Amino acid sequence: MNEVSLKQYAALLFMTSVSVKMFMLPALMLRMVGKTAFVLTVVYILLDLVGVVMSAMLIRRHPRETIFAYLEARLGKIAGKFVCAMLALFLAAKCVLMISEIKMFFTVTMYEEIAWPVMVIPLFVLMISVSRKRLRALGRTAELLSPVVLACTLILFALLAGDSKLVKLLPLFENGVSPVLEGLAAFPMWFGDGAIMLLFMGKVKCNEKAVKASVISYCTASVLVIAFSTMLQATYADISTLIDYGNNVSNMTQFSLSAQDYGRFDLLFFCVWMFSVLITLCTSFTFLTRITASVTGRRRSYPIIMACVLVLYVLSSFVFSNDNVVYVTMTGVLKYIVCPVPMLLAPTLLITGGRKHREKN
Amino acid sequence: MKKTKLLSVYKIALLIFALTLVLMPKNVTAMPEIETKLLLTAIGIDKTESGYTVSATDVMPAESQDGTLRRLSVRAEGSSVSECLNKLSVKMGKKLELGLCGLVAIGNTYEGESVLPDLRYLLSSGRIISGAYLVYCPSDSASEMLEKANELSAASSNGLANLLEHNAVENNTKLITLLKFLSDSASVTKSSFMPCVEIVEKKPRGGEAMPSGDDPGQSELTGENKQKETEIESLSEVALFKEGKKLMRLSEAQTRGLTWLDERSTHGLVTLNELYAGGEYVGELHAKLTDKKLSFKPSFKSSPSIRVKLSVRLSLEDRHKLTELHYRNGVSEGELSSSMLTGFENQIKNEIQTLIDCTKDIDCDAVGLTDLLYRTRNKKYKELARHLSVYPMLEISYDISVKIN
Repeated sequence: MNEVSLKQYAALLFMTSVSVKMFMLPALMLRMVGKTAFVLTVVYILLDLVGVVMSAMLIRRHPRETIFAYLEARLGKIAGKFVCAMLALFLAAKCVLMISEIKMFFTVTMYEEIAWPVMVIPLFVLMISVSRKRLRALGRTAELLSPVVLACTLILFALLAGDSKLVKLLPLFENGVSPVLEGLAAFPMWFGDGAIMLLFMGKVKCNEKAVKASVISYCTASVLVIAFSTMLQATYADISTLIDYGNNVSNMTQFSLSAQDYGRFDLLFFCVWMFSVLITLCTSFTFLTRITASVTGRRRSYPIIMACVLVLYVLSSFVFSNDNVVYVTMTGVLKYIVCPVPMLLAPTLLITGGRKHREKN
Repeated sequence: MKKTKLLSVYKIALLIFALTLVLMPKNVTAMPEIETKLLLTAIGIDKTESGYTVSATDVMPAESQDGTLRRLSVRAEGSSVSECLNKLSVKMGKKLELGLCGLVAIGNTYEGESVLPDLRYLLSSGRIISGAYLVYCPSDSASEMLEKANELSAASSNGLANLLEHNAVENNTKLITLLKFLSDSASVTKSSFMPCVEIVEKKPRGGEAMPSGDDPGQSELTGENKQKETEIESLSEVALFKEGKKLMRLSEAQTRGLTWLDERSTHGLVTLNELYAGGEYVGELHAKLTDKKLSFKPSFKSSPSIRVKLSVRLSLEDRHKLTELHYRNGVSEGELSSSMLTGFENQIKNEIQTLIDCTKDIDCDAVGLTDLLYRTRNKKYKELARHLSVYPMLEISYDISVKIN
């Protein structure tokens, strides 16, 4: 059953694309790659664009078939379930990453000591509540909030733009191409929007504009992400080794506005922008519960949802309580386990399914 | 579960959560959070024989005192800046909060030693925000300077930091943030600067200094109860640093040269020292800077060179002098105008050139001109820099235009 309109799908894609990449990632890339880090952002975004377009093409091609049904029909029951399990792992890792970054944002920017295991509980309550609803609820929220998020992002952009000197990013490839390649292998966990959007298969009221809407939505978000990352990286380009996991655009506006004198009014805009992270988190969690239900062959009921929440709660509050553990895990072996299948799924299905689709038509 | 039942469950859960937060033992018994923190608005770092002295201005907003702002000068010694900060916290029995710290003062006790390791620590530890201003105290230790600065302004929480910022925007004063200083020092020039701040005790009319207050290490200062009064003696000069070590202090004219090459300083008073028009001596002429546009064009033909393009808009303050000259001495408006424009253009050029000559002598490119060459003409720069220092060879040409309202 179609749950979201094309407009809502585009809004959800915008929110997903604009969220985690603008959080801690620019500082992490700068630390690893140096001043050429913006090239890495551009490369990743272009790769992601391919994934998003391919997902949109699949959604367009199979408007009435969910990804779970499609995978089982194409690959057989066991292989289909295996791919679904990999998708669930990917989404769980993404959720842990997002929750950790939300925590880091608040601890670095506002409250140094925060009782996170307690404070995170309302977030999980919200996630449970949203996951019980149809995707339409998320779609409507995204549709309502995306113009506000866009406006806030543009205001933040205007606040920051005057202080950055892009010449600081030169010379390009100062230390050769190898740091960029190293970075390319390190950060896939922060990308893979195409894989999330593929999960909307069979849930979107589709028409011939699906691909066009996806491209416009993704490109708008990407322009913002690239502009933000580049500005942050230009500001800290010469002292990349001095910045840490936790330095983010918020620190930058504080610097830019001399906010120690005027108060942190920029935080208002950040808090609105945070809705995009919240919606992405809820979307990922909703799909995580749906896939888990599909893999275990049960109905998406409270036990399944509570089990997912419990796993995420324990992981984010206790196992990955240290920021550096999150960073090391997400850039370490984990990415080789959880990323390949979801990220290559849309291109593989599109290419291999193309011939069959033509024959069928 | 029915929708209404589900909603009730959510409501109860949220109520329990809210009650838990409100009734947590810490919230019930603890003092207001702001009174449990050591809010430092400025810190000063000095080198000592045994390590460091970190002094700071602690702001204590006290509800019980009709909103009066209490300021304490606090100080601690230790083998590292980190240890000193920890000792401050222990000494005051409060948790250290440096998020509002807008000023870092470096004392003259650093003479010959690099400030970079300590500033890098402050930034990378996340203790101080990157936008905090840096100042150098040429004639005092940072500790003494901060104590004197506390008596300048009790009205604002940041005191000297606010004063500096106002002057940077309105009065052409050169300022630098922690981030910029570290970035400049990490660039190929390895050079930067810090504004010099000198604060002295205000002399009474007789000429003697006013009696000083209590123990300077722990003096309590409020807006109404001043023990002594101080005033800023000098704020218009900067000290040059290379690899974090202080090299020299620039004169006022040289500092003005540096300020002309700062695109953010777009206001302030400009004085033309001598003006002759139509053979008549006009004397000093004052004008207000209302706008400035600055750009650099690097090139690498036969030698490294940079063209400085500066367009300045001034608003004349001494118009009466020119009116007199025009109506009484018969100097034409065209002559007056061209003399003024040439005069201002030459003076700006001379001030910049004085700065460049002086900094070339010590190979300290605090403006970052060679850094621009490195970034935009990287290959040629590297070839040249392999054998020679680029900055002393740098040729500078000017395209200065002045417009007067």
